[in-house]
Amino acid sequence: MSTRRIIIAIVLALLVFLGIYTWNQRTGQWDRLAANSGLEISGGVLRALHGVGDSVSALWNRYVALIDVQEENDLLRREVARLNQELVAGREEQAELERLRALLRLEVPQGWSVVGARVLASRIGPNASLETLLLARGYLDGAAPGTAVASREGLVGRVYKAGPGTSMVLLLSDVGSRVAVVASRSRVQGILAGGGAGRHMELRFVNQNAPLEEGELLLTSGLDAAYPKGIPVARVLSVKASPSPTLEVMAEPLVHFGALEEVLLYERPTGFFMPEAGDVYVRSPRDIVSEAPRLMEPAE
Amino acid sequence: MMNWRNLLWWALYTCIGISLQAVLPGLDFLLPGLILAIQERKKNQFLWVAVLFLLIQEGSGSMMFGSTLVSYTLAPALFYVGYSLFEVDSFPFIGLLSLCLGVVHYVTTALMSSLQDIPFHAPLVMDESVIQTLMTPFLWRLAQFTRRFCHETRV
Repeated sequence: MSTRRIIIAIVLALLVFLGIYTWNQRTGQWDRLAANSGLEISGGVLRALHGVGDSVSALWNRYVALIDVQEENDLLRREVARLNQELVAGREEQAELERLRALLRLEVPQGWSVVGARVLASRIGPNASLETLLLARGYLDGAAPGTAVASREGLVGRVYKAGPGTSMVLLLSDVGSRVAVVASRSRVQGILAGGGAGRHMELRFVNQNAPLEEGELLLTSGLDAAYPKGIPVARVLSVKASPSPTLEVMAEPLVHFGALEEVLLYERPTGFFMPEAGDVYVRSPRDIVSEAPRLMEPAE
Repeated sequence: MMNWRNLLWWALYTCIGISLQAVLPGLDFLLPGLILAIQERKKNQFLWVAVLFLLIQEGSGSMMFGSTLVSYTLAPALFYVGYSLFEVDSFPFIGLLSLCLGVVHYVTTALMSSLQDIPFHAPLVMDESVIQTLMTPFLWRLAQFTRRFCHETRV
């Protein structure tokens, strides 16, 4: 192949790629295709693996371990071992039951409905640049993009993209995450911004004379129309004066994202303004503002 | 036409790859399989494997469509560039290819993050690229070894 042909091929390949990329940026078609197929395949495989893991664990606890015990001649030790195993399994089930009961005790804002979802994985694959979680629910069963996600400890984030039965949640800790919050005692309002994995969050736009105190709980204010009002989000760690007109406030999330096994999805009331999750990174504020009147029209 | 062993192998490989990606985030466990598919020089098999892996990686990733497309397009291109210079079934060649793809991963992630206004964690992506570069030849060798059991698709 001559040098000229190679150059032409490279230029053509670049043009094709740029065409695909820009068309996708405008329409989101390729992202939708990938979410409906690739995300769904990954979710399906992980769901199946979780199912197999549960079945093997159950089989082991109920049968295989018993056969091993029967091989021992000591009847008493066998009985104790079996009971111990049942006790461990029972404790695990009890812990799960307590977690689920705690989830059910959470107050649900009026008009919003909640569904539970199992966490399948955290960041997955080479394109996992954002802080995310993979859930075993998709847009067909309550996890449309933009849906708020919480646990019994507090707010987790919101659905970033979704396939029919699998979805991806953008965590509060991600640098692109923004939540409108209000302090529980002083009622000071601000925007809570993620600081990245393992880093503190920053509460922005708080006036220098605001009566905010360390240790105060930050709750969702509901003003961003992305989350229902009143969900605990973070705790204030430090409040410092700064040269700018606003205070420098740091906070830590209430949820330990790495330990999540189940979460709740808050489904919006019909006709509610619903910002797209992807707006966080791919659209300018001007676009969002220009689309807001159309989005705020009640659904038919 | 693929035989059932071949299909089963690819299905198993994909499942194992996805589950490993869930355990070790940021790494591409499907890439060694793609290299194997290129090496076997069966157009149909390569096409469906590449499309399947592309959709999985783009779908389960959190960036907009495009990063894996670049990597998975450059993989066969680099392979055929090396075809005229190296013994393409050798471990050193796969190591070299893996190094190139590691660099491609770092550069495309940086470029795409900038295009999409996503924060770029250079040390993290560098670590992932280095681990990916070191890991891919060994996974490729392991996958190649297990491919021997699919008698129709022996390399």
